[in-house]
Amino acid sequence: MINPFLPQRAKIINIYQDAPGTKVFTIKPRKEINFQAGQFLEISLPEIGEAPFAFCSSQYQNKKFKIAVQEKGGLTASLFKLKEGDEVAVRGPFGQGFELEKFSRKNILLIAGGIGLAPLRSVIASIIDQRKNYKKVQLFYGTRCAELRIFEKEFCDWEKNNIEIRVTLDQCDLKWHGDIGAITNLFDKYSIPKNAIAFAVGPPMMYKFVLEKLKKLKFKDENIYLSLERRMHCGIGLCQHCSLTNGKYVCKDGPVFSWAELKDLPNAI
Amino acid sequence: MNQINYNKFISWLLLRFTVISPKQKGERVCFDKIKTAGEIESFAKPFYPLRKFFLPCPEKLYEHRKNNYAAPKQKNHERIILNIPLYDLEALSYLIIIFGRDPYFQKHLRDTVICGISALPDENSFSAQFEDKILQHLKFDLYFDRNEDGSYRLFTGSEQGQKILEAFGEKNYSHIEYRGPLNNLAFFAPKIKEKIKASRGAKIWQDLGKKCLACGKCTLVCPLCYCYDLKTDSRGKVSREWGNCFYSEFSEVAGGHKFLKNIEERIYNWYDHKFVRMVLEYGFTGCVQCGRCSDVCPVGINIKKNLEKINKIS
Repeated sequence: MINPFLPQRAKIINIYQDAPGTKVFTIKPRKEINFQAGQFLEISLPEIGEAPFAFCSSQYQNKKFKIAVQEKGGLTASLFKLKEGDEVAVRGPFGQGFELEKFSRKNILLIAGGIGLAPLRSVIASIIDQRKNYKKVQLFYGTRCAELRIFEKEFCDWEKNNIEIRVTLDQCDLKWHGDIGAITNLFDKYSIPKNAIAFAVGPPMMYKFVLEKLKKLKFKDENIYLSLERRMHCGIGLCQHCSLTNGKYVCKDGPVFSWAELKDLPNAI
Repeated sequence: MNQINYNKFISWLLLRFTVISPKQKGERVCFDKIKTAGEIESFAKPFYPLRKFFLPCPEKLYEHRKNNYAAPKQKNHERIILNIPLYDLEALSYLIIIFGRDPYFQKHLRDTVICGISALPDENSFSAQFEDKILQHLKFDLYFDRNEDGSYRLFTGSEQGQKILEAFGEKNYSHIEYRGPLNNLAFFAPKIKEKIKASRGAKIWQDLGKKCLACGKCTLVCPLCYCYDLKTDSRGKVSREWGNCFYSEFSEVAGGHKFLKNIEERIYNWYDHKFVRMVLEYGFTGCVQCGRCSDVCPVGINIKKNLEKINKIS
């Protein structure tokens, strides 16, 4: 019987500080992990424990993968102390991600709030690997201040690959000449192609307002995808920590859900 | 099997197995190892369910040491659990399905001979009365149906059960093939799932949210509470421990946000798991009507009465 709790060894082959408080790790597991953008894995350290992280690299590159880590104490504090060459234990992939293949020849609208850009970077990197398969790709990204933008160094490269990037900041910054205010402002300012598929990753509050905008733009429920955050232990839909009221487990049925799947579940967002 | 042979059978088992049965432990009757047939308390409701035998707490999953991730080699230990009341047999039958792909649970199950007994009704238990038809939906090796004169009708539910009886020299038994889990929804009011769903936020939950202390005692005695935490100790040992959905950190994520904000939401979640989510996932409810949660609740919350109240909300 397959033991779903046993991790495998993996080596950290690269670490870089991306934004203040955020590091990006490139990890090479012993056995390659065949993941889908939007899925997650559990990373553990001896004496510390385990926590879930979203893949943030292309799903077409399985030999190694990237994760973006924000220091929030516990395991993340310990991960921040690691060096290149150190080992971690990993298990996964878990859950359902964004089924990108389903959306070839479509327009894609990506909506990211804060660290929510990490799982969407996996979507972006995967799209770039097969750019011809998709039509217009647009990214709306809201974050607190200019210096906290994650993956900012890559924006240029994304734009070269014909990804339209619109960033809005919560805080006014003298050096900032771009948009200010909630992410919903971007919906009022920039045109969104018709019949697009929306992928949103951010805090629950962002979802409430973004959904309102998307519904006004006549997005169908099944064309809106959200990724949910919950406490997770097992990753296989048993331990109950990540259950959604009235049905579904974020670790097994999600973390990516279509709004059609969630709209009747109270408390999901 | 008459009473004399039954006592002989227990002595015979004691020579061959670790024998576990409800027995008096201090003020309580609990499932525990027995040394003599005289210790058996087959007429009382065991205070705790069978969970600790199949989902022990803690259960060592693996160790980080030497970066070699393997499950610990467990010794085979032949044990028999006797006098399992019908509701605990029913709960175990569901757990066998729920933990069908859990190698640790399945190992404990392989090591155990399961032996049920027809239960006598008590005040808080609202379990269905014994019927022959129910047995084909329960997982067991042996089942003792008590007759009024103290003798037993014997049933086997597995080849292992048959072999044990045959080896003892008992040939008078009926064999029952397992035909899938019980449809225990039929024991509850019609549309209980829909009613629990619709009742979210209703006054009953607000009242329960004020009354409930969130002590979590009900989850400790419920045979179908199986939430768990994965924990890593300072030496790198990773274990599974029983979780408790009444504790505020149960749904807490990094940064401190709790998705089950207050006691009202947590007690609703408990019912939601048992009567909505489990029904959606497995087709059966997570309640075998043993009444243990009502027995132990320090503020007198009674599941039977709550279900009746919810049923009345239209």
